[in-house]
Amino acid sequence: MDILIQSLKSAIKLLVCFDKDTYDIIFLSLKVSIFSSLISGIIGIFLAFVISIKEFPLKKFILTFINTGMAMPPVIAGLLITILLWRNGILGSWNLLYTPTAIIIAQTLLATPIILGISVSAFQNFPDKFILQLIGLGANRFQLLLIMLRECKLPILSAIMAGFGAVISEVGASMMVGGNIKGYTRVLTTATVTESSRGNFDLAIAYGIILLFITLTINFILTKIQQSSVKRYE
Amino acid sequence: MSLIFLFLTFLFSKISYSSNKTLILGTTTSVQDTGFLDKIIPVFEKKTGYFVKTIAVGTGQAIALGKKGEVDILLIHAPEEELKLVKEGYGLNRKTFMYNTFILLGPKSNPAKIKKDMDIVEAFKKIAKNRSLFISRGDNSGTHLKELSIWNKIGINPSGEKWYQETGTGMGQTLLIANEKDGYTLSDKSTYIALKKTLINLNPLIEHDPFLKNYYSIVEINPEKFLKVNNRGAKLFIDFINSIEVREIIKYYGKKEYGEPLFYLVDK
Amino acid sequence: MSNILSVKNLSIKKSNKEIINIDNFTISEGSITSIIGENGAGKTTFILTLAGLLKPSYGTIFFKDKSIKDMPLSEYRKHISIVFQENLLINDNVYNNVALGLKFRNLPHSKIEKKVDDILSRFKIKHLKYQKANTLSGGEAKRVSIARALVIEPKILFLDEPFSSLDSLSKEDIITDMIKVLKEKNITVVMSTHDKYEALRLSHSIIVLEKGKIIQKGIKEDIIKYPANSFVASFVGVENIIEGIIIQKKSGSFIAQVKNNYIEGVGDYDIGNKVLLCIRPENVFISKHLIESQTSTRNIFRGKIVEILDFGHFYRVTIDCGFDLISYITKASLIDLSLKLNDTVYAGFKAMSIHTITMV
Repeated sequence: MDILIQSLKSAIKLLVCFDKDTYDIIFLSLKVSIFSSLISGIIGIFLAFVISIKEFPLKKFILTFINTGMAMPPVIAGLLITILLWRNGILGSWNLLYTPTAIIIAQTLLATPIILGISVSAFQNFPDKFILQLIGLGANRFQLLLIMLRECKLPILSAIMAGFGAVISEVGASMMVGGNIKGYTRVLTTATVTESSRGNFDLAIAYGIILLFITLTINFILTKIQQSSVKRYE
Repeated sequence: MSLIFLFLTFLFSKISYSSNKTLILGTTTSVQDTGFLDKIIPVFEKKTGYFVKTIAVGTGQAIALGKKGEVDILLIHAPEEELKLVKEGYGLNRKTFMYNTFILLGPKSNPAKIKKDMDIVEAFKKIAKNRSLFISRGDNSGTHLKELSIWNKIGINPSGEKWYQETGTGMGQTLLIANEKDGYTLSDKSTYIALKKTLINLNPLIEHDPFLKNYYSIVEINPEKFLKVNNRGAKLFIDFINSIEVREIIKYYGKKEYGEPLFYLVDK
Repeated sequence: MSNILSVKNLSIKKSNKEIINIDNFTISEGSITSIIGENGAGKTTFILTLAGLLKPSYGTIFFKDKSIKDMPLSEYRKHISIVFQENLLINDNVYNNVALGLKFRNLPHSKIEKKVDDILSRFKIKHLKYQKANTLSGGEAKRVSIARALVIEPKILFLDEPFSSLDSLSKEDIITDMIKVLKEKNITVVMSTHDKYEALRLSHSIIVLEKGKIIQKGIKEDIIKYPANSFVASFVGVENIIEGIIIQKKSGSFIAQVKNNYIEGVGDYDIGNKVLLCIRPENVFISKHLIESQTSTRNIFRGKIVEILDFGHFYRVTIDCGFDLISYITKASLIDLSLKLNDTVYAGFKAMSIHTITMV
């Protein structure tokens, strides 16, 4: 108990005194995860849109697959990307392994299925007749997507935030592809692991608190979004 | 579509690090956990303009990365594996530059009745005979390999025994688990010293057996085997490790904080 | 009038089942065509296909004698517009809803504003311009939905059961406003409905659909007068549709002249208006002698029975009183009155049971 209180105190001190190393890690985490959830957002929403408006064989099967296989285990994403990015690997010439970009790629792989899944169900709730109405008024594909995004902005927003929540709290992939390099690819989760295994519990707890704060904030916003469903006139 | 393309170009424009000024150092978590590298690498980077990517993994994985040419240089502590690496032609210019000791730790209750003046082989025999809880790293790390070589010496394969538990994690984590579960464990001394204040249930038992010396070496990865290996950087790093500046750092590293140095120099 | 839309050998299949099969028909420019039929007859599918929103399994649709297969689909869609039963408004204000089609066509802002303002005043909703769509009443939302479809001045407007969720009062009002715009801009209308009054009031031509097939097509009067089979007859159902002219107007009631007879009805209609008086056959009663005490029945006509048809559970009796009146009576009544062909009888109905529609 003593250790916990002690650690908590120094954790708060680190935060309040704007410790540079600590804040570097926080900002890197935020940057990387925001980046990857935005890219996943673009890819996921685009795919969801295509899947929702196109008729193609095996559509039902693919929808079931998306809805059930939404979560990819982080370590598998990490492993896959590591193997791809090894400098003697397929994409070795890009020199991306152990860089923040590598983390972004791995996290994108993680977040895309999550965002895709939620976006697909958001678009599927958009009435078919509404789509016909918009096309009937002369909308092209792109205009249709924009209107659908506007109409489904809350579920789409929550999809992106769910993706963000998943990647910022993920440790396996970041550790593998980023290498947990101090001041370069060390993010909140990997830093927490490192510091706790070094016995620096105050630091570990500081990172833990920040991570908790970020994920709680996201959950809070998500809940708010889900509660405030705006009614459309049909 | 064009938006995605724009994003990707932006992303990949970030990777403008010229790879010949980047050095990838493969090392072990136990080395990283001592904080020693955090102390010397900024000095090296400042001196040479290199950017060092330190990848801290288990010894087994570090060696595997070396064999695949994914790292430029290794800083590890598993002499037999290192020699094998050199013999197979993957490693070059292996240089042992410092050591510390492994240390057998045990719970205060000391159920296997291990005395400080025993040699390590005898102590392990007693643990096995008494079936006392032993916490192993089980991660193919240098420490784990050392531990296995002792079991090997007494002809016991403890793997799968109920009293023998493998954590599969780093040294720090393993020490914490041993502390919680009242088990024996083998640790490198520097990690133990760094964590000593939190390990209130563990006593140091055996550390002066010469067999427990833990040698740290650096090994270049053979550039003839892998086109992309940065051998120039590796050579610079070896020179740096052998410099008087680093040797002075090693001599005193940890002395102020823990009352004794974490590492000892190996004579040139 | 030239043809604006025609169809040849159209077939639509859904999961290998043919749900629409139509050999041919044409729609002339500026006309209003109603597609009527029971629920499940394929009206919506048919409308969507004509609007270029569903691809037919085979067959051709011609827009101004040019197959729409030979032009980009977007080119055809430029000329059409559609309104559904649901208003399907986006979560925004009235202006942005009505402007949608113009924005899709990338018109400059100033032009959009002008056109939207114009259509809003024509539909009497200019005061709602900046009101959120989800705060509108059902009638207001329907006005927005129709204004949105008309503001782009389509060549053809497709309406899929457009008024079925409205009360009759706001319906009348909206229809009047809509008809004005349609006439002025010479817009052709294809409308599906299951409301026969709506079809009768609005359309020039009627297409009757049953199980995906056209069972009758033609101008309204022909369909009413000469139903092709018992389905159309029972669908058109009204049986007694009598054309007349209002010649006298009292408070709350009127007298209409039908050939040499006068029919008294309820409602406010202006003198000179052409009206259709619809009387359901079950509301027409028959007696052998004139009974003076039936004061509430103002419309009693003397005539001759010209046809008696056995419909199983009832008889359909046609009486010629200068105009044809059809009555449904039970077998018991038929026997009681011992009605026979060529008998002279009195046929009557209450003024209240007349459904009056003004002709467009």
